[in-house]
Amino acid sequence: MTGLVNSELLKLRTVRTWWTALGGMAVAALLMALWNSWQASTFLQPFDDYLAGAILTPREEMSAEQVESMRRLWETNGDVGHVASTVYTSGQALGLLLAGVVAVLLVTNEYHYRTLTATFLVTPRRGRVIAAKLIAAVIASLGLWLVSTVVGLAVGSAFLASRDVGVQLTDPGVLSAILLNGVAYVVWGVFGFGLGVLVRSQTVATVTATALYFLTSVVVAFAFQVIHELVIEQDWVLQAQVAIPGVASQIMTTSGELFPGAPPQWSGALVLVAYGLIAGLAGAAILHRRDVA
Amino acid sequence: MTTMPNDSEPRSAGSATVEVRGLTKRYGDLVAVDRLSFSVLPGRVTGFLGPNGAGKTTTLRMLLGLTAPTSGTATIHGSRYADLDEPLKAVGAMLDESGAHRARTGRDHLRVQCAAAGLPVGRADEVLELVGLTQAARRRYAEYSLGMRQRLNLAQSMLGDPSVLILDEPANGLDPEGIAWIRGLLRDLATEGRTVLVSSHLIAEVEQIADDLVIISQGGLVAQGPARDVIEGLDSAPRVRVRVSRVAELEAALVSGGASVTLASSDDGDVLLVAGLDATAVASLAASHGGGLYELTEERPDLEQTFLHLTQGKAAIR
Repeated sequence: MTGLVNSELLKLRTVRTWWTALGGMAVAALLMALWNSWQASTFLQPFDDYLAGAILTPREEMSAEQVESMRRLWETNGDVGHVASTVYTSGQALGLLLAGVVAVLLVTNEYHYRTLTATFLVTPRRGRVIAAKLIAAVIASLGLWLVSTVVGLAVGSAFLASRDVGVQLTDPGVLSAILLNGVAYVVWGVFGFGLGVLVRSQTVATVTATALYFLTSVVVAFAFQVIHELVIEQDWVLQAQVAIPGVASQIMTTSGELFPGAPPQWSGALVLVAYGLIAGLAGAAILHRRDVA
Repeated sequence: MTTMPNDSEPRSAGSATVEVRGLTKRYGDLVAVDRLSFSVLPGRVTGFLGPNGAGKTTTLRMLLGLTAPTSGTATIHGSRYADLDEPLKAVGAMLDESGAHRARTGRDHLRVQCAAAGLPVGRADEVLELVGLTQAARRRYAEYSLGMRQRLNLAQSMLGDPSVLILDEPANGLDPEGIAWIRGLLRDLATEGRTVLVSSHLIAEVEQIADDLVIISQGGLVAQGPARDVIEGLDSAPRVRVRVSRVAELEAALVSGGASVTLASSDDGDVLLVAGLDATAVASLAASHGGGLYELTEERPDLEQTFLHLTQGKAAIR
């Protein structure tokens, strides 16, 4: 099995796509870490300075409520744990998509370049090939996460040091944010793998993964709101948005509620892993029996 | 060319390494392979022949566990391919439709398979050397010519140093030099005691190297055996081609003499094609019944004609 997983990882390492994905990941993480640091720097100022920089209206003309809501925003975002978590998980928006697409390609490349024959000649027990691919998809996802985390840590620790704040790596909240980020990468890897096994066509699977990724709450919320208002006035209708992979991903990666009444974070991860495994198992069952062309 | 088994190698003695028994594959109403049975012996090159669409590739794919048979069995060393412990070390296969990632180098393509099969990665360089691709080893597959791709495909089949080689139309895309080279290689591999099963739709491609022939048509077995026997079994009945001035009269005399006669036309007029009587008998009948004798030749069908005759009329449907 080790040999098979090594073989799958070698398949990744010997094509440029993988290195492009890693490079893209590093650049995205760097840019987002710098952006997040710059954003955080405004929140790390004293409240009066923050307010003066953020709002054009003179403070004297603001209502007490307005000032109070700005203060809450400043308190939340200016929390060093929050700042560290945000900067250390930079690049996630692109990274999750990359993890999904790399996993899709890991499977669909075999069809696209007609290498499945050679793969199955080496390993006629197809279940082992499929399992090795799943493991390789998980490892590749973790590789992307590792690159983004290293970049985020480098930028974030430098930024925090420049503000005379520690790296916050002993803060359990910060550590769990970094680890949850890794879980999110793996979950998208599993989801992409399942999609690739089931769909087979490289183009269709990649486009589907991307479309599902961007089909987030911004896009679908309206439809669910309409159903909620006009058809079924039950809270579960809004919660059901988690069934959409893009929304599930958002719920999974948002600490706190994505929208009022949103289901808990773990439910998003569960939905994505379930989709990935169901698609993967269905695809594997088909692949197991199907004649290879 | 020898038709005797190579007895110098102990593993080549007698028993078949590849056994196909009652193998059948149906796609809906279409019967691609129909109760096919044959054996392949070690130490010999076996030509697996049939017109395009006869079911050769489907048979080989069933033998390699890539396609599931509807019924029947295909075994190598007594096992189904999927049950072999180290398939690459037992069987090397070169299939027409096998490709490689276009961005990957030929060498990396082979190293990927070495990793999966638990072979030392150095094997990749050895087989590249064997097929003469060392120079192109680090070039991307996209840059390979058709002939180079065939060579890489062949190198892939040799990775595990297998005792059985199964090659589907290996000469496709090779230039005459490449074809001569692959013939020599297959000949050498068989001499080493390996089993070599090579398919082709052109008998001329394999007639120089095949010790045995398995001929199929429309998914069914047509002939099997030592190449010389298969060929002689068919061309033992030569035809006599005769052209005379009194065609109708000679035709009647030949028929009453027990021959079967076909009337054909040629550029020079009508020609009688006579089977069942030898040239001497036809000549003496022509002397008494044919009038002016313009031509009398004995025709021995060559291998290609034999092949066409065997598979006649069966190739048209697909």
